[in-house]
Amino acid sequence: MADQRFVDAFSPGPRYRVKSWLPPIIAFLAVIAVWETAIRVFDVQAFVLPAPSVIVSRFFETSDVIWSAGLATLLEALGGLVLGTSLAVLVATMTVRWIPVREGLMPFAIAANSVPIIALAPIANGMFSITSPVPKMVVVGVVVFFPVMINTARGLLEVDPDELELMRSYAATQGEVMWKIRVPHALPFFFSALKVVSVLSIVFAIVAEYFGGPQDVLGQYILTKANLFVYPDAWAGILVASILGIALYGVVLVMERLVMPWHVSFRAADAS
Amino acid sequence: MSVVSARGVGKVFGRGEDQVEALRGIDLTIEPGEFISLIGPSGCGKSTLLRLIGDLTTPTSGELLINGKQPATARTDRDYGIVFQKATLLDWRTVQKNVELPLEIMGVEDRTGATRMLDLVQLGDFAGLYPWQLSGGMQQRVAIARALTFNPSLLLMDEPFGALDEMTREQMQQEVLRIWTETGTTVVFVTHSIPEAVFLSTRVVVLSPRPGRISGLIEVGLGHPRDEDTRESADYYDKVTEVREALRHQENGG
Amino acid sequence: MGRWERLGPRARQTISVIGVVLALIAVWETYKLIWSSLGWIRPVRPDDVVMPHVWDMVIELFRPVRRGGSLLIVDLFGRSLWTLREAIAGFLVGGLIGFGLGVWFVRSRLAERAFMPYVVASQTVPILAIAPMVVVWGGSVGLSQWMAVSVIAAYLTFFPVAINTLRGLRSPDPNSLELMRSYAAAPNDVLWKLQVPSALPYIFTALKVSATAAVVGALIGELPAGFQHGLGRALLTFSSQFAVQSKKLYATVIVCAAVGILFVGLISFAERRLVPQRGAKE
Repeated sequence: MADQRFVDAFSPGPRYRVKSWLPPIIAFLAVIAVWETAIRVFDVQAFVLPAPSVIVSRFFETSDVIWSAGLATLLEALGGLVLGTSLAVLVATMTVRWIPVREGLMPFAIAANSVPIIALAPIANGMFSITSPVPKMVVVGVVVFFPVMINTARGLLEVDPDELELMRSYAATQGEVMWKIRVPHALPFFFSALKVVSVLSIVFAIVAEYFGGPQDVLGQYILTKANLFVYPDAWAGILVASILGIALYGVVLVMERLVMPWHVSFRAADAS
Repeated sequence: MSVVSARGVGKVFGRGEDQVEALRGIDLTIEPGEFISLIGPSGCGKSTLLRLIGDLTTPTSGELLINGKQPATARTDRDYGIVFQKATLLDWRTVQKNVELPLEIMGVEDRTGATRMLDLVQLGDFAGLYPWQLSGGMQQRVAIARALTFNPSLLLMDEPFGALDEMTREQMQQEVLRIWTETGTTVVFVTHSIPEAVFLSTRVVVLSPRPGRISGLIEVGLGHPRDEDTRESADYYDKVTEVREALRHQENGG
Repeated sequence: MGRWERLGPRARQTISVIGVVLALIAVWETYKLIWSSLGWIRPVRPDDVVMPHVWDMVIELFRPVRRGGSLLIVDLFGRSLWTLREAIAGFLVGGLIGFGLGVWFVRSRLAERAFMPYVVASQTVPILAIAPMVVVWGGSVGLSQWMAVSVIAAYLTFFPVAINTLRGLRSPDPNSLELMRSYAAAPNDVLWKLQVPSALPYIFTALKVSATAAVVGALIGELPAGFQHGLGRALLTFSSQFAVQSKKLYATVIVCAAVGILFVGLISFAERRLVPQRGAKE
């Protein structure tokens, strides 16, 4: 009940979603322009925040290293996404069939959502081979699990009672109710969670890397460069992280569109 | 054989101190081809009676038979179609796919019934649209088409036009009468509008509140077809008055 | 079954949560038992270093951190206060900024048009990933280290609060607004008597999300910081000693979880006091 708008809190809503791509992009470009000019004109000391042009040139000069690090991190994030999402969907489905699972697990999941899960990162490093991507995948998986599970379960459970009665009037089986009513109803909930966690997966993979492990990953790259005060290189690494996050988000958007072309959030775009 | 036959049907919700008696001692027989309206003040259990007939809930006393069978059997045999106050169309299906839903579930390969019913409610041209692209009245017509697509012998309607504006409502009443005439389906119609009950029905069942009992059975006998002129006829006014009196009477009787 | 239902939702939830925690502990201990008796080491080695007994983690809390030092739980309590200070300071600043932006945007379409894109664009910066640089930057502009850490918490807090405040302030139905209009109410009356009360559930939802985020932000912000206080530093220190002192790390994680739950619990408590109908329902 309390976290009804849990995921909504992260996503600014349809008004800002499909229709108004442009203002954020313009805003972004404007920030870049102001930033660049400020550093050039006022000769701001480019200690932590180098000029965008410097970052971009380092981005291209070091592209071999940062992209291979980026791909290693992406692998961890994807592994965690697949792990966490599939487990979440499995458990969410169980909440529909078994009332004890629902009564027991949902309050637990909501409580677990308030735990800073990233604290598990050093433990995962200890439990699994620290040299492999597995501990990071596990951390990302746990981070992903709770929002996806809570949202999917909600979508599966909070179905219009009239629709259930309608299915009952057809003497439909449990399976048919699941596939024809609950699953389509849960898809928007599932995707809104997936959009949030797709971005989070990259961030949390990077943060998990701060707790140690292989060196050829984005988190270690950023940390090392920052410790050496080579900020343009560190920012180039962050640029890779942003690109990966936005790309994952984009993939989820496309999937969403393909899987549920009927959904409300696309209506405005379709009408115009 | 009667479509609906109720003997002393009662329904009690909850138990212990929270117990609420919704219906008591309902005796009612509905013959094939009738158009029956259930009318009464809110809380009189008219919707509950409809849901008992549809086996969406079960009676706590008495005997209820649908087409001579237990309600659960009738439901499994797909003897009735149902329309709610909300159209309850599935957002993710086109109009056509929504109407086909019961056929899909019943494993009927032949989907021509869906197209025929869409034509019957005059929405054949809208088959490819999604529900949100239709007006409220059109959505409700799709719901009616969906309820009839598998040719049930009984059509249950739970305040189906309650959410529509008055003009659309009158059009829909006309439409339902036409469909009823064309299909010969028996209709049980829940409403709280006296003119609507009189205009549509062959018989009006008046229910009293808490616990719901049948306090009056009024034969409408206006003849068919009914149209705009019917609404202005003296006989129609007399019947509306008769139903209103029946409702007021129980109020005074307490 | 009947007795279970008579317990009321809050009691049922508490029992459920405890039940699931106990079940997880049981799974942990059973795994340890079976895997060690069969000599299996995959996927996780069941020895006392990698998987200590749950009770040993708890007992560890009541042992000295180092010989002659204070108890671990006392040490971690001090660290929790440090981390909570960073989180709460950031949370308050971020929350106020978020609320202010929400109010400003609902008052002025122009402001919303002009600045909303920046608010949205701000979230494309993965703030947790640039924690190392934020901390250094904070130092360079003269913030003390803990304040620099709370900047991260503030950054994570303001966005959900701004978005949900705006949404909540817009949530009253048009009729209520017209009613206020018919009273010729001043904009401030409309805000405080109608819009803010209807926005409270939305704001609290965001605050609960933000509270966790603020704790995460504080923990991560501490990693590159120079000081030795805080739970984040403890995680880093004990994880480097995992092979010898794994129980300390586990104990620290338990405390981190408790801090997160405590913080969100406080917000929920405030919510129940300020938004009356919610708890009463159901």
